[in-house]
Amino acid sequence: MDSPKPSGATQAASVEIDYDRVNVAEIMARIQKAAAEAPAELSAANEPREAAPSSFSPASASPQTAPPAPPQTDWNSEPQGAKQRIKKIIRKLMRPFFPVIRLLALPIHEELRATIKSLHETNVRLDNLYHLLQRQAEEFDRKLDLGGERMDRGELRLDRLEGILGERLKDLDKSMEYIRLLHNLDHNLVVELTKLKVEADTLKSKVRILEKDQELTRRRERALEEQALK
Amino acid sequence: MTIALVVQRYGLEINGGAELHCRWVAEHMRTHMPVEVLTSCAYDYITWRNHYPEGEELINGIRVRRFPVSRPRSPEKFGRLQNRILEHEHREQDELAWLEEEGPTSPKLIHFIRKNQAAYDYFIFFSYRYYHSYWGIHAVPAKSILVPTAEHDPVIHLKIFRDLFRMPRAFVYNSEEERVMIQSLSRNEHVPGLVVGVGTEVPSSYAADRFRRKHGVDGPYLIYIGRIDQNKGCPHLFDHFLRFKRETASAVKLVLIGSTVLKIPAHPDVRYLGFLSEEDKFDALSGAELLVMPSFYESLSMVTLEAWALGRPVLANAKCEVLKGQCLRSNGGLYYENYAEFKEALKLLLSSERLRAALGDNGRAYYNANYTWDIVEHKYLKIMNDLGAAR
Repeated sequence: MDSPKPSGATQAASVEIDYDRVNVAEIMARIQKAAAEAPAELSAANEPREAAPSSFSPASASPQTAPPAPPQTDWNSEPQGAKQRIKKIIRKLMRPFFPVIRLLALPIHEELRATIKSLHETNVRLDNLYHLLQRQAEEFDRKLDLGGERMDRGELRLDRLEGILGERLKDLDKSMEYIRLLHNLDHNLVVELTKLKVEADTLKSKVRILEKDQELTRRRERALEEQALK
Repeated sequence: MTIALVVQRYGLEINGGAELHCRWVAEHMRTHMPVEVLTSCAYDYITWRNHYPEGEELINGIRVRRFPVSRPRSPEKFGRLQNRILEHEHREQDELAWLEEEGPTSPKLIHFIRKNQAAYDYFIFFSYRYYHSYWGIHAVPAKSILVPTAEHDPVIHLKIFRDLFRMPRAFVYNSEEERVMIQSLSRNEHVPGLVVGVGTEVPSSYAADRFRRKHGVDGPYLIYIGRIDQNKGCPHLFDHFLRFKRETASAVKLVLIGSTVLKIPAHPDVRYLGFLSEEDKFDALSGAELLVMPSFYESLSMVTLEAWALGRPVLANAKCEVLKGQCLRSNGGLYYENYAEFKEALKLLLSSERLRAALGDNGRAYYNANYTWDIVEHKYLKIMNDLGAAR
């Protein structure tokens, strides 16, 4: 290294670093942590006005202060004083017209009764639907139990298949080992064949040399014979 | 010992990840042994149309043999086939048909490998997903080493690749995450492999002031270097950065370097400088507060290694397992999964110069321990020596 390393540990951009032994994995773990925290900080920064309580905000006051009560009217209580007297006089005056008023109110009464009847029928239908729902829920539970049993059986099958697969994988490993051995064997055979080829070539050369020697010997023999017979 | 590096494209003009990776490996390994490159005549990675002449040429002292592409790729047909194999039930033949269309389809290259296998001790194939790797490894499994450069790409789940990953003699992984992904997909633990990656060429001198003067950049800035497109996570970077500016009123700028296929946001603090020279790039990187890497899919990320080589910290997208793993192993950078983490991590980095320095130092130590060329070359040699000893 050309330049000397500064020593000691310092903190840069909220990540503490030991400059004597910089470890990228450690730095990256801290960077990743900081990066993961960054969006939370960002969203928190955007939210404080909405989230922080404020004594000036009507919205913040409303959950703590009860809403103003509606004006209470006791329709059964008797009116008091002059008001009470006036009311009595009006009632007396209106009494002859009460049958007419009742007659006028009859359609409304009929409508009210019809509504009540309709509501009753709706309640009955709702009860029926509730019972139906209960029956279906029971049916569903039963089927769920059946499904669970099937799943258990499926798991058992999967376990068996896993066992078979394990055996097959072992066979595969064996096959790969055979292939590896065959590969080595191939290499060795190529080497041996190459050597044999070289040896065969050498032997052929030797045979050719011997043939030539023999031919020479024959010629010398003939020459010697001629010399001897002269 | 002679080795052949097999790659889909090759050339000084080609800056694709795996292709550049291959070129650098070739140029460094030639100091240890004779190295040849076998590749196609293609330049364009969309159609693989023949561009370079067929035959041999020397590039930076490396003998390069180019083979023609018999059939250029039809992007429409390729798109249809890819949709079919990724979204529907299909057979192995369909996957092979997809591979044929994926290309670069060069049967002559495969024929050459098969015919001349005796001339090479090892064939190192780059990028698992192309025609040359699949059929090349099938042609010479006993001499093949695969540099998969795999990402979390849906096609890695294809059956043909699961089988392919069990065939080579050895693997050269770019990262631990890549190794775990490929082993968990194909169960190829028996195939030896080393996590190697690739070194990078850091210039002997670089000057942030020179960059600031030349491009008129003042004040603190973050830097993004690479292709500016959707797959690299650039739209998210723009959103996060502009939101960060709005929320924190920070004075930091964002400097973008690389070719773009996206519209860059019009903001005074977003500076797009286009494609720059290597010198300018390293000048810019050395002056940045940190490198930001928003990519979702990376098998290594060379620019991250370059930032660490210069002692600059990194802020990476944690959704890319490789980048996250590299940050954790090196203690050289922080990462983020969402805007909240981006904001916290960036705030922390910008607020603490000591943290940036400490992370940068850790990154540099990690780079020196794992990604200098001496170490990368040594690992390649170790793989080949181990294979030779096992014969």
